[in-house]
Amino acid sequence: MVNFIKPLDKPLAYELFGIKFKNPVWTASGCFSYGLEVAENLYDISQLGAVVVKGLSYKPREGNPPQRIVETPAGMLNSIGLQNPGVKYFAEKILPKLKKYNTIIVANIFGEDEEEYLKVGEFLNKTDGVHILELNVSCPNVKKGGIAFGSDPETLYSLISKLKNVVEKPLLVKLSPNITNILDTAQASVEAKADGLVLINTLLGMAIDVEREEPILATKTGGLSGPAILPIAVRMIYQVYEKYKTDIPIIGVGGISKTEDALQHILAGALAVQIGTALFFDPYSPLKIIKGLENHIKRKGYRHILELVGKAHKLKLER
Amino acid sequence: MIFDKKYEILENRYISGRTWLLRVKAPDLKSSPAGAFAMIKATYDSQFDPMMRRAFAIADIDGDEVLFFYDVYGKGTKTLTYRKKGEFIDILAPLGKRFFPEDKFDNYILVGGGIGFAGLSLLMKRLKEKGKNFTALYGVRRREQLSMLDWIEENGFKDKTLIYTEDGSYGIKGLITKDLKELALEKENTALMVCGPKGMMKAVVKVAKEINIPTYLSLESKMACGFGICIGCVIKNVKEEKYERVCYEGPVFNAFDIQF
Ligand SMILES: Cc1cc2nc3c(=O)[nH]c(=O)nc-3n(C[C@H](O)[C@H](O)[C@H](O)COP(=O)(O)OP(=O)(O)OC[C@H]3O[C@@H](n4cnc5c(N)ncnc54)[C@H](O)[C@@H]3O)c2cc1C
Ligand SMILES: Cc1cc2nc3c(=O)[nH]c(=O)nc-3n(C[C@H](O)[C@H](O)[C@H](O)COP(=O)(O)O)c2cc1C
Ligand code: FES
Repeated sequence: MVNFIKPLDKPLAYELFGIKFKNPVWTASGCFSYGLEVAENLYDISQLGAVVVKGLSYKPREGNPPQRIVETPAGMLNSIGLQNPGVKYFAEKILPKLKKYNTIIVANIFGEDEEEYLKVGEFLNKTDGVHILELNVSCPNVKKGGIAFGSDPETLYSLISKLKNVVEKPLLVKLSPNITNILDTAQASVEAKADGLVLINTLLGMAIDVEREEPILATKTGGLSGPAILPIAVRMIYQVYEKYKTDIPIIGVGGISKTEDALQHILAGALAVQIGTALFFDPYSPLKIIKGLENHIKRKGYRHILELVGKAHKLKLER
Repeated sequence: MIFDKKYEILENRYISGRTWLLRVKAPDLKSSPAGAFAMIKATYDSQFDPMMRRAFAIADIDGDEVLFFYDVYGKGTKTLTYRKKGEFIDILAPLGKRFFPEDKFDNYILVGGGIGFAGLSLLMKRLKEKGKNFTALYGVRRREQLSMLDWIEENGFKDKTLIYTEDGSYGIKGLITKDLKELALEKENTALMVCGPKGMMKAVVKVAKEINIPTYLSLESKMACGFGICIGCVIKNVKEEKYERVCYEGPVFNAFDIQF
């Protein structure tokens, strides 16, 4: 395969960014809180490839007023508003507990402006126990008149470059799908030397209550996630992989609730996947998918999961 | 410990009004606290219409059997009515971290509006076991909404329960708050345990504030996960000036701590 990744003995295990991953199945940010609820009440989270924690800002954020969630056909809309206790509280009160579970910890970070992003990045770069940073750019840039970092390639390039100056830990950029051409922001991220791309965040949507005759969510619009968005995520991963091949690692997220969905992401070009909304209705889904991937590899006669990454492209070329 | 398992349906039938009863065999849930709830997936595996589980109070536990009462409103509860005896159904339970204080007071008044009574029925049993003094108030609009009447009789709580109907078609005519003040002031060290529609809970809290009596509310909220990971189900805690998760910091809250 490629230079940044090295298969290990077990069929799902590999070393990426110098970190040993047991398997390629992670939880998605905002869909696993900070991991403790599941660890304390349901199962051993060290079985997971990695845990991506809920988005962290420098200052604590109260979040949006309720109603924050609504189910939609094969999906849901959320407008949590990035409620979080701030990065210091996370490091002092939550991380020490989470660290005990012996899992790879990915911190999802965001800010209202570049300055806040940099403060969070610097802080977590020094925080022991956080292995990887994942940049959430679906947040509007207040200083630039509300332009989302995730939709303007120049703003994004500038943000990533500055972060790369202060962050030594691997920095993943989570791209927003709310853009005409995903290759624009992918290109900006690659040029700014991001260590990996995460595709995709939620899609902007709305649901209306026909009795009350008004939007259901208090903030009117929200982010669409769940099985409904699977084909969009697969298409975007495919497009990005097609352009960059193995130049940059891609982590797939969006609509995965079972093994076949994860395989679609992997075949499109993702070398790890994140499970989000499915955790809400099936908390054990990541463990089922890990088992499912093992079985799939065995059944198809592969030796390692990495043989499947991006395979959908190769098949097409050979035909 | 939270269990996420498929449990056998022993009974799923219509009672009255818009209420159905679901009985499952779930020995794991034997020691669930009163006030705990379950997230039930109405559809089969990998069916996404609806996709999310729905929240229901654990209304009673009898040996290995667990009882739920549910009102049919939308897709989730409608789909639940299609599930048959002998099938296995996905249940995540017991959920919640804060429940009714069963030991703190000498006298309890349970105030249940409509299907909200299902959030108090297990508490009645537990208070009885503990030898606590209690009275339950059960209020609805019309007689056919008294879907838990049989349960009350079968469990010998008839003389512990005052029944209110707004149209006077059964029991006392009037709102559930009609005699609340007098009842609450009758004995020392009394507290209110409340579950029901928002309007009713607001009316109860108004009375409670007037006479300054400890009051605990079991709240409802739109939930995606039910076990704390989505932060979707929040309510404002005005004492601490922050949003708390109904499913994880609740579902029972001190009425004077929250914005209601
Ligand atoms: C902790 C907790 C415990 C609960 N316990 C019970 C219980 O024991 N029994 C029970 O019947 N319900 C209980 N509920 C409420 C129950 O979860 C909802 O009624 C259910 O989720 C509705 O799902 P649905 O798909 O049928 O309706 P939806 O499709 O979600 O809603 C359809 C329409 O009906 C309205 N609606 C939905 N539910 C209600 C309601 N309860 N009252 C008034 N309007 C409503 C909605 O606003 C919407 O307009 C509980 C909720 C919580 C959070
Ligand atoms: C309730 C909720 C909260 C989320 N919070 C965050 C967040 O804080 N940061 C982030 O980058 N993405 C967040 N996301 C997006 C998810 O991580 C994921 O990208 C998206 O939901 C698509 O994956 P899914 O279809 O598997 O859910 C959130 C999603 C949901 C449903
Ligand atoms: S329903 Fe998800 S946090 Fe309460």
